[in-house]
Amino acid sequence: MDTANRVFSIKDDFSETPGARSRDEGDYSGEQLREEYLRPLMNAALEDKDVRIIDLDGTHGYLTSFLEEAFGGLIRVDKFRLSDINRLFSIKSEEEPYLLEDINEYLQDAENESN
Amino acid sequence: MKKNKKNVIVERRIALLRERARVAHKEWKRNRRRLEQGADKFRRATLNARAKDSRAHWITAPRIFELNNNTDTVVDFIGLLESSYIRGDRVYVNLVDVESIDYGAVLALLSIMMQFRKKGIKFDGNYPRDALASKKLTESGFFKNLYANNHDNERFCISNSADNSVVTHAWSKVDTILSSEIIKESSQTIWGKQLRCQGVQRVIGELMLNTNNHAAIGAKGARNWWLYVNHDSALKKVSFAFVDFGVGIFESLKNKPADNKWYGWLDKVTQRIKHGSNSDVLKLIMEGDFHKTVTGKYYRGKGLPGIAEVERRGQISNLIIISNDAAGWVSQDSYRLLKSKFSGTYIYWELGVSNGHCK
Repeated sequence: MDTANRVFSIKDDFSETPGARSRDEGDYSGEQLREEYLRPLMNAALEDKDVRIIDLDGTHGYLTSFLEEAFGGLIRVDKFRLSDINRLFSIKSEEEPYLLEDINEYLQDAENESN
Repeated sequence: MKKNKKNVIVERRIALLRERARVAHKEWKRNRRRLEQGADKFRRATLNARAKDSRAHWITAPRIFELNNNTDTVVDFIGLLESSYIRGDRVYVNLVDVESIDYGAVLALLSIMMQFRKKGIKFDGNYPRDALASKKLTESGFFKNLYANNHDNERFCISNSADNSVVTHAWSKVDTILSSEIIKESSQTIWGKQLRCQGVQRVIGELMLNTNNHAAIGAKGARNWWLYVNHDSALKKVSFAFVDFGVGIFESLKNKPADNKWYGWLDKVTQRIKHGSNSDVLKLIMEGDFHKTVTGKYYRGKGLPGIAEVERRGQISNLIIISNDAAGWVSQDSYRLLKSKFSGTYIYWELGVSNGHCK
């Protein structure tokens, strides 16, 4: 993965069929997405101070625990700050706009838990 | 040679026993002929089966063999089979009086009979007398699947009949590639082309995950799940029935370890709500209020509430859930307690032309 790319498409760059929360629950887990893609992207964004677009469209659908682990885990496990994620990740979903609300809540919950 | 007195007594006793056996057999034959008089071929087959294996435990399916509409009676029937399975009793499944049948009942029966087969417990059964019910059972692939050579813990599609039904049995793991393939076939039936239905993908995925995480107490991935998909091309509708014979929602909640996030929550919730029955709790869970009742904060659509949200968004229809002693017809906002307990979780829903999809 080229972390300098400004747009990261889950469908094209990860999987058309995202899976569950953790690797032991099946393929293409939220844990895998976070560790192999979102964490490096966030580090790169912090370094070059440039926004990355995370495009959720085009997949077959998402499990709630996948999204919670992938995004909430950035705060809970990787210790990124909510303010940095909000500033440097622009999450896009035209097909399922309710996912944006879900992800915001997962991020907020993880932030609250970490404080 | 002169017989001694002792020999005479023994011979007389043997003759007497033989005579008694002859009379008993004659009586049995007479009774059998009387029972068979006017009996149709189904009744005669039933009598023959009973004569063949008198030690088999007979379990008779209800006339309305529909898990969605005759829930209590069908759950009771499944419970009897389960008890026999636990005791290791061989069974004869008497379906002769079944008049109507739904795919949820077929799936529940199939998955439990596969357990008998796996454990090597003998079983047998008959067909419904009713021609339509018999046809539906045969077309469902029930018998084909029951006697198919398959191996547990492997991912496989155990039937994919050309007409209108599919039965799958997969890993206990979450398999979103398999669910996406099922959705492609379903959308072909409904809209005539392959489309994405993110709502159905979420429902199947969440159910697989629930089975993986919660179906067995203290163990992940210990139970398999079963999914039945029925295509109705005429009505442009696909019905899904999902079963896991795990511990069920309430048993799982009751048995959370002390370090688990959900430990003690069921007690807290039942104390706070008016009647405190599992059907009230099920309604709270599906509406996302279970979490709120304890913490005061809405729990955003994870797991089962996420499935109910998919229904509220119009991505699926006619959502039904049965777990332990509670059942919910979610689309009708109707929840009630069952007379018997269903060991595990059953979920049914439909996908049709009015439901949401993406190209």
